Amino acid sequence: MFHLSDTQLHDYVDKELTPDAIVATDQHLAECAPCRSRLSSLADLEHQLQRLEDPEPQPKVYDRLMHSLRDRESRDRTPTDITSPSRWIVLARMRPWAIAASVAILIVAGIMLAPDLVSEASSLTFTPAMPARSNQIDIEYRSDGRFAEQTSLRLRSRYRRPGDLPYVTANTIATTLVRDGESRIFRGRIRLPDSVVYAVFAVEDAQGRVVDSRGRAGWELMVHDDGVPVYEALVQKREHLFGENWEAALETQRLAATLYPDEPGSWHALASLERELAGSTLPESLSERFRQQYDRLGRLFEQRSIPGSSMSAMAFLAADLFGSDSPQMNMWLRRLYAEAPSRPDAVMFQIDDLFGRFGTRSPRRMLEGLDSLWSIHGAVHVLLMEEGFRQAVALAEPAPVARWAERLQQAKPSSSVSIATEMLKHPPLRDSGLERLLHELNKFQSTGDGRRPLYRSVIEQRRWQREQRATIHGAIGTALVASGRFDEAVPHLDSAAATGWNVSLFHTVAEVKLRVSDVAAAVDMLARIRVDPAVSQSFADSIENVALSLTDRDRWTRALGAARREMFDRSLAESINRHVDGGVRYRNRAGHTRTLAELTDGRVSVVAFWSRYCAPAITELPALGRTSELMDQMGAGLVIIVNEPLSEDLDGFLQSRGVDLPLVHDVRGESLPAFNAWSTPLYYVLDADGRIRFKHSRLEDIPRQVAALQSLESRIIAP
Amino acid sequence: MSSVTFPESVPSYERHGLRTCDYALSTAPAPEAHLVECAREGDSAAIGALYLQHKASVFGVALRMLNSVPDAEDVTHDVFLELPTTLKTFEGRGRLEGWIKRVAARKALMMLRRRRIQGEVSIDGWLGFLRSRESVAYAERITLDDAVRQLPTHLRVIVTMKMIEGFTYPQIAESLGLHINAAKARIHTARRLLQAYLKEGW
Repeated sequence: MFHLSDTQLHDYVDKELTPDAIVATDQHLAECAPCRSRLSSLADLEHQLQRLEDPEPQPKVYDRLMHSLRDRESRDRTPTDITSPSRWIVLARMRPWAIAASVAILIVAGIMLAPDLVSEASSLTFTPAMPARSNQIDIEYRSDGRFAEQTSLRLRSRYRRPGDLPYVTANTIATTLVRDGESRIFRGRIRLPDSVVYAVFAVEDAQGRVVDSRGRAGWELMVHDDGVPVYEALVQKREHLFGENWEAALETQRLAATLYPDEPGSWHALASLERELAGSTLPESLSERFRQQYDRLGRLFEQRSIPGSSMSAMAFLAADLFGSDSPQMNMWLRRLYAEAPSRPDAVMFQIDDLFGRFGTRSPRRMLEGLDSLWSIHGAVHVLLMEEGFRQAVALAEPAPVARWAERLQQAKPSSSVSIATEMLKHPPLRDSGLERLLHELNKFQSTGDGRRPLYRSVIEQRRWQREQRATIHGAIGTALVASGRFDEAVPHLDSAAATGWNVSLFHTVAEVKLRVSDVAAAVDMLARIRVDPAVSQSFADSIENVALSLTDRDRWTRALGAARREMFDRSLAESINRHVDGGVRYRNRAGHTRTLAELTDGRVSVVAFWSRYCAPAITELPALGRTSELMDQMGAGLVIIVNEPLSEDLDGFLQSRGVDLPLVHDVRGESLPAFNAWSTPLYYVLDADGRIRFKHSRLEDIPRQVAALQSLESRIIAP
Repeated sequence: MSSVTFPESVPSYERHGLRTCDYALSTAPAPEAHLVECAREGDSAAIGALYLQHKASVFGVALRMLNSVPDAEDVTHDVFLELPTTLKTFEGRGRLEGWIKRVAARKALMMLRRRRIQGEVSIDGWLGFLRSRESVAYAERITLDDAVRQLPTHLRVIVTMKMIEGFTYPQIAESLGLHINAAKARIHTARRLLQAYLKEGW
């Protein structure tokens, strides 16, 4: 049985149907209980809305009106009393209430816009704010004082088009913004390319040295259709937020499902996200709601021709709700294979099916199946190439690895380093892998601006490239070591160890140095491992024993001193120096309000933004627990900010994972603007003066960053 | 028409210097048509009387559309202050209440347009809507008023006009400069969001 469309129902409620249509609708409603129920819910809403009570204005509005009326009467009566027209206008404008109101506004503004906040906040506004496809857009950037010397700025944009993948930050383009006179405002204009549905923007100076990316979040623009974001814009926003801000991704997906309930992809993606963020299974209360949607869509699509993407989304949703290989899922799959067999989704399900049959048991059979899919459909979906390469690697035979490496490289050039690194593990492919990696090294020499993410300055990008090159040198060096080509490995390993701080790399280098009989260099590497505060005591002891079997204690002590200095210098070279308001308030477990300054208490401190509704934050929980213990031992402060009240439920959640953390609740939401932090988990290291010295730190880097700041402190305090 | 009772703080007509109207408010309410006539001539007392009768309707429209008490107060004040001019377009055929609400809606729209030019209206409203839904404790009952207040501006405006204040689609389309079908589509979206909001789900 067909059902009334939403539009038909709305028109019925609004009495916008023709008499004939009303009769037809009435007939349908008489026979169809689900539509009756939808109608009654809509009519109920309409009824409730019409009966909403109007709020009363306060009595002062009446007084103000009467003042104004009196004022006008007296003006009308005695216009000649006023000798100067300009004074007349001023008087008319400055009525008593107006003066009182403007004083009140000034007071409020004084309270709300404390100087600190005014100087911190920059803004980027778009006109129109809700553009349609390919609209021209006027951009206004109000700077926060960091671009005081600039007459023009660069607006960098990352455009997203339907089908763009998550985790891709490259392909940026730039436009110029010009300062408007002497003001803090810069203006520019862009036209969105036809295909763009979602865009993120950041602003930087002409050289790209100073970037305002609103703390990595950027400013976003979504393509709208008559005031409603188009479906693909929401999808691309979600893809953009993957790995950046999971909570916002979930919110976006909820909005997509609310605005586009007949789009099965909305529900499938929402179910997947809810499941991921809830920790692998959907809560029963949610499952029930999703099942209702599944049933509704099932009825809707029963006798209607729908695109392959809808069929695959229904199949995915069925797999989420009833399990893969459930009759519901198979029903949609049969339809998908019959009506749209070469759609990427159909191929994905066939891969899934192959995996179910052969999986890890027989990579060879699995690979045969994948090769056959490739010969029929070609590079239809990047998953085919990824799975093919993965299975080839599992089979560990050079020919399939080489074959699938080539296919994957074509489909996903961004994975070339990992493809090449994987090839290094197979002796027959090692030379080809090495060749690819050396080629990649050259790529990281150039500073192609289009590949630089919006939030990264040119300086940060150079540092990043240096780190990437060091990683590749490390991989090449390690591969050469595995081939027994120690002498060739040494220069690569030296390059790798010359930047950054990577304990396991130091370990490899120490071994190689010993093999090539460079004992002094080996001892230096061992000293670096020994001084790293993140290394466990027992491992540090065993390293020391090895070192002392190679050299005498004097030499070892000197090596330790040099390693410590090297560690501090390399850490501090990455540091920044940014003010953060120490007056930001939190509520602790005892229910007391404490400021950031009180919590850090003049110590070098780590500030973490954490959420139990964020999968990556949960993944890092054990490591965060270890960091917490380590900070205790190091005498450093640790403040973990959560966005929910501290409750027994939250305690239980942490206890069940075996950690105990010093959480505080950001009751007023002051932290996010103060730190310019928009995602979890996010870590900052503050010096003893409460200034931000490291932002967005990795957990493994935090101990040495803290140690470096503490050393700086003792150097300053020492006479 | 309901009877008019003045709170004590309100000054009497005499003290306001009533000039032309001779009805006695202390005894019986004047007929609305008579108040309209007097207000059209700029009579403060009549405007005051109309204010007391229609203040909630006008303030309600403005508050729902603007989501700001000070702004809604400004609109309310201005609507009544400007009655002598605007009443010239009131032909007296329909009810004054419906007409004055439309005047309030137009004023609120003008204020919104000014705000938009100043860049206060942003698409963050969308996420704010859902976020506010998440932040309301489940135990707490969400009222429909809350839900309307949390709608993105462009939908809140149209819901106020259509569903609460009874504007017709052609009236809305004209005021907002939209095609009728676009106005309908927005109403459908808004209803869907409100239903979702009230269900605390989708």
